[in-house]
Amino acid sequence: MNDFEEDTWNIASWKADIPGKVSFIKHSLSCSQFPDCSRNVILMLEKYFNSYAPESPPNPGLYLSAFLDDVIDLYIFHSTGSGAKSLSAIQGLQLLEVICSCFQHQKSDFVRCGVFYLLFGVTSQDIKDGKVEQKVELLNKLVSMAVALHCDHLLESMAVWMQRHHHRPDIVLKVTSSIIEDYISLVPASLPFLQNLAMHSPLMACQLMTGLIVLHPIVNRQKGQKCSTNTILPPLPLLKVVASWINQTPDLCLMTLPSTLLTAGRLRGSFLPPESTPLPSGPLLGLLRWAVLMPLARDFSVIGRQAQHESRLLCSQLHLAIIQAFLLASKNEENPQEEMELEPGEVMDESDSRHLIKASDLKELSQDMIKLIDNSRALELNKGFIDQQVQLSIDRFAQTLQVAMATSCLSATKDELLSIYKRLPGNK
Amino acid sequence: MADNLSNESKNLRTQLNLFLSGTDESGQILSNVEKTQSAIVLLHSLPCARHAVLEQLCDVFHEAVQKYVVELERQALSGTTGHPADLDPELLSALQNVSEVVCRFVDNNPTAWAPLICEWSLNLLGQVVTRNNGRRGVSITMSLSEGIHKWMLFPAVRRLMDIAIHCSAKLVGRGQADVCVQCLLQIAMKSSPHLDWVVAHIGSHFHEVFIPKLLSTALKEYTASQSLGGISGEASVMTPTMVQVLAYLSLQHSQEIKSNLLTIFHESIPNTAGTDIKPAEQLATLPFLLHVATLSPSLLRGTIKEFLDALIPEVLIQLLEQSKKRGETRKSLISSVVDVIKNTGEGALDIFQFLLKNLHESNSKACVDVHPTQVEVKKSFVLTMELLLHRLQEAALQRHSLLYKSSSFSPHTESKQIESEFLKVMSCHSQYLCKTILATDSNKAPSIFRLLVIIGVHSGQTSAAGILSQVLINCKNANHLEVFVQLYKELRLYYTHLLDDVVKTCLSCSKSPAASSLAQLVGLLSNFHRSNLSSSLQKYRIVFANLLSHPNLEVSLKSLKLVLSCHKPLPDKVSTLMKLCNNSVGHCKVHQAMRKEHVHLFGGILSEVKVSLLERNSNPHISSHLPLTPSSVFFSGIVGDIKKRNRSKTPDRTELQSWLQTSQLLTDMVFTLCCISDHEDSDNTSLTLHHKYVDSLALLLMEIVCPDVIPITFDWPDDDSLKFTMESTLMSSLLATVMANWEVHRDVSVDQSSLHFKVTCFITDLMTKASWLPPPISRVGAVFSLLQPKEIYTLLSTMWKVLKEFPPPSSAMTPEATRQRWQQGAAFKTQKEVVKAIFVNNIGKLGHHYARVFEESW
Repeated sequence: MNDFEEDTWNIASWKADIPGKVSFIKHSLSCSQFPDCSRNVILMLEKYFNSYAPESPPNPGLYLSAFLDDVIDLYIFHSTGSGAKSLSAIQGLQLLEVICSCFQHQKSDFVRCGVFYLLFGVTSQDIKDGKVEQKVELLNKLVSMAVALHCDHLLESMAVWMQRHHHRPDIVLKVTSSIIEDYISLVPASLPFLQNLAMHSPLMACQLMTGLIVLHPIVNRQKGQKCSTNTILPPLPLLKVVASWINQTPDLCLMTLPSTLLTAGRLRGSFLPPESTPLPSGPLLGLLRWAVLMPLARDFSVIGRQAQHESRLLCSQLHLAIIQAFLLASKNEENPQEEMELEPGEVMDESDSRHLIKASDLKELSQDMIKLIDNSRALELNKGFIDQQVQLSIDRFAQTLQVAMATSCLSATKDELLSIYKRLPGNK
Repeated sequence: MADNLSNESKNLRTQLNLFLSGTDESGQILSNVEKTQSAIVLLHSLPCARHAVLEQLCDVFHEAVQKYVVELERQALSGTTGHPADLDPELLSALQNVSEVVCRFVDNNPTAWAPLICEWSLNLLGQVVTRNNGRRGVSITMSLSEGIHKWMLFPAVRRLMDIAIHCSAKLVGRGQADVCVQCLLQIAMKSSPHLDWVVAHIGSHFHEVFIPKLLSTALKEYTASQSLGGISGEASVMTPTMVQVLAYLSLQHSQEIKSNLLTIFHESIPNTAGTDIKPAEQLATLPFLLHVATLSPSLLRGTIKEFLDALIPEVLIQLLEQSKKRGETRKSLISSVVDVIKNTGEGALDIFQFLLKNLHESNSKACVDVHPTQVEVKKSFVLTMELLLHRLQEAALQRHSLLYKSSSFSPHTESKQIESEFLKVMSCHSQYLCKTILATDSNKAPSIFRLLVIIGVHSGQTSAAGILSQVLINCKNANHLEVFVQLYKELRLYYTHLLDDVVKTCLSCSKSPAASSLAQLVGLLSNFHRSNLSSSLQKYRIVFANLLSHPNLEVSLKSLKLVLSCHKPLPDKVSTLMKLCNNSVGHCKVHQAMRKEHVHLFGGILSEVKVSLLERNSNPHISSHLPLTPSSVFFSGIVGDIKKRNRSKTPDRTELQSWLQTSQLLTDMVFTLCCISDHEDSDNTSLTLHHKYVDSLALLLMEIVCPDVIPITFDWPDDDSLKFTMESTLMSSLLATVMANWEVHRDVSVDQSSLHFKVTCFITDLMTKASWLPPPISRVGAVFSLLQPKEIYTLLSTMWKVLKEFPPPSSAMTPEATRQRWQQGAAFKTQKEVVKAIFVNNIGKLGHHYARVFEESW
């Protein structure tokens, strides 16, 4: 590449004759073959972000934003509306490979997250244009591939993306469930790759867990929705994966993201308006729910003895990991890390370990416990067995509370706690 | 473990690069088989690559099919036939490998993989088939089963079918038949009609689920297309495919299809409990079913009865309301109903009866409180019937004009249009219809009548004649006859020799000698007689004439009447005439002779004949050979005996009366026969007797009455031959007999009352009337009673001599010619002198007769 071209491909260096340069780039992109064109677009974006410091991310004008939108639509998403041919499945795979390798070779976190968000961030404009679907679809495949190919950099960027979209649970959950579907249901043989995820990208694992817990709440909160037990309970392989993740690294539950990454690449459109309840900021409470509710919820008549045993084991592992996490949190509190910068508008107030568990959460959990207990008693199955399960559940609940209180990760008044205790059956 | 995994991940990356670049590390391009291998690796460990992998796997199937087709073409060129040799074994094993892997995935996780693989395999099948259609060995025009046969020879296609069937079996087994059917139908629609055989073949593996699903999906699609397109302009794609597939499936599961069709119909009727069909679909069901029936009449075969049973009045009203809701003009649906009916063979009669019944339902009831909708239902039926008859008529007319008018008949071009299964089947029921039309009240008759006409026109002359004869044979009263006449008038317009056939058919119907058919025949003949068709029937007199000799008197009488009712002269063939006479007279004679109770009537016939002939003889232009008639024979021989025997008996009045009628008939007939003119256009009123016919008649009578008489030569026999050939001719033999009698008579006076005397008088009288004898001898018959037997003998022998010299002329002569004839010969003078001498001898007794006998005038 000669100097002139070098200049032209670096958008940050554009000072004059911007329309000319835009058309030059558009032309040269249209001349290049797939997948080179897609790669060139990503390289161009990386170059663009590279020219800025993380503290002062680029802020392109309207004209430039529109140009970038066009190019991304055409060469990354190949949306048919923009005149490009739709890709065949093999070409789609090629595109994924190109994106993965581009991100893998980019060393700067800031650039990666910026470019990733530029490519895949969902804006209100996207919703209006109906482009969310294709973005999420590409994202699903991309993440799925990254998991198997150990594209840690891309996974990291994805984790940031998930965090940044956590007020849009529908979108995040779509990606989450698609990954789970791919590895657990479609190709169970590839499950080890997913199990290994926590080692490569703990951030991603943490975000995935958050999503998974919402996907499988065990007790359905919304009464209107009728979920089958299949989806409301976490499937056994999933339980296995999650247990293995937090057993290897209990601090997964406490992961937070560097704030610089959370703002990078926000170029266009207005900020996405929050929708319904946002995803929880961390997986800890959800994991507690699993550990406590699972003994009550499992439909034991259906699952085999082996699976039953396994599930019981996994739940106690979860329980252990949660307690460890509380302990870790209290340790972290003793050696506080550098203060995190909070951006206005971001919901980061719960990062404080004292707010890991709140009284309201406990109240909800205890209500669900009572509901499940009543349900299983109503079925009049094996009474002794049910009592045993109830006992197990309550023990776990009590132990966790104890640790949480001891590590001061619980923010609740005594009265609040007392009212919760009174409702639950007594433990031995 | 982590190391292991990262190694694996690295391997995976390598495989991915291999797969994507299509080249190995050294830059060598990979073959399809090798690509397939790397694709399978990816399939096992890279979930997001599955679509790409499946896409890649298509190549190997395409290659296999391609190679097979090339092989087929090569074989065709080299002239060898049969199964192409095995393909590349590597390719085959790759195919096998793919199908095993894919099936394993489906087995392990049917929920996730079965729909995916099912769709993939079907799509690929669609591609393969569509791409290679029209190549050698496979063509688009193949029928479903041919398609299956041809394509299943392809190893790749067979594998794909196996995979698809495996997937669908899994899906159905898990209660996800919906997914499978949906998938099948989508594919079918996408590459219709190439893939209909696939759909049919796979569908047949789980037909219990597939057929209802297919129907309901098609119905849904049809409903949608109807509501979108408004009119049926936006034709649904699904329905033709569905019909194709159902037609294939109906080979094995016709009962199931039928019951499903019926179910759909029942569900479409509101108020049926337990239906969860949407109202829009309910409304669209009837048009949908009609559409299906239009596309493939055979699908509905066997369900007509059930459908008709279901159409009780309440349902009909509901259907009417539905049609109002559809907002369509009533006609549009009726038109398709009629189309369907027109093409329906089986159950045609049921349909027709159903229409008839409903056409007049409310009429038959007392119209006190007929529901207004019921009236409307009835109107619809009227409309339907009208339109049906109209369409059928069109078809029949087209067919008729094609078969009977155009010489260049090409069966391929229009034969489809003019064929109507309904008519074909109905024509088998024409006998029933004929009976019905005569049995029913006037209400239903017009429709049946029209249908009969249409059937007649449609199925050809023989059939039309059959219908007519059926009606005719079953005619019982004047109304019935009217029906027949009307029917004939209609059908006559289409066929030239229709009546020919009708008569033939009728007669052949009643040929068997059973009593019932005899009665039938009698009825038939009288029907013919009364049907005012005499003018048209004239040509068939011969046919009826044959019936004159029927052993049953009534039959022959009826036929005789019939013959006589033909005003036109009989054909001028002597043979015909002969036959006719032979039949009639011969029959009468034989018949009467054989039945003793009628014997006494025989005299009657003689007298009648005589009277009749006398009348004719009064015509001055006629000279006939009356003496040759058998009457004289009777008189002298048989009859005399009969008379003697029966004289004491008083004849039964009624018998006598009937006999009088009969004889009158006979006389009339003979008269008519003899009046035939040679020229067609001659005036009939003159009633000219024709010589040759009279001759023939005489001969005939002779033959009948004196079977042993030698044929007449019309020459008077020689004097010498008298003793030997007394009976040689009728008259001469008679005369001779009488002469011999008188010769030996030794009485002084004559007994006037004796038979002998009477016969003598009769004979002379006859000869006189025939102008065989010249005056005065011709007039002496009047004075025989005053003479002595000897003198009578002298006179008779003088007559003989005259006759010897002047044999009776062979043809009629004018009086002038006759006179001239007499004046030439010697016998003429002799006879005059003989007569004069006798008068002189008996002048006391005969004096006052002299002037009369010897009058100069002729």
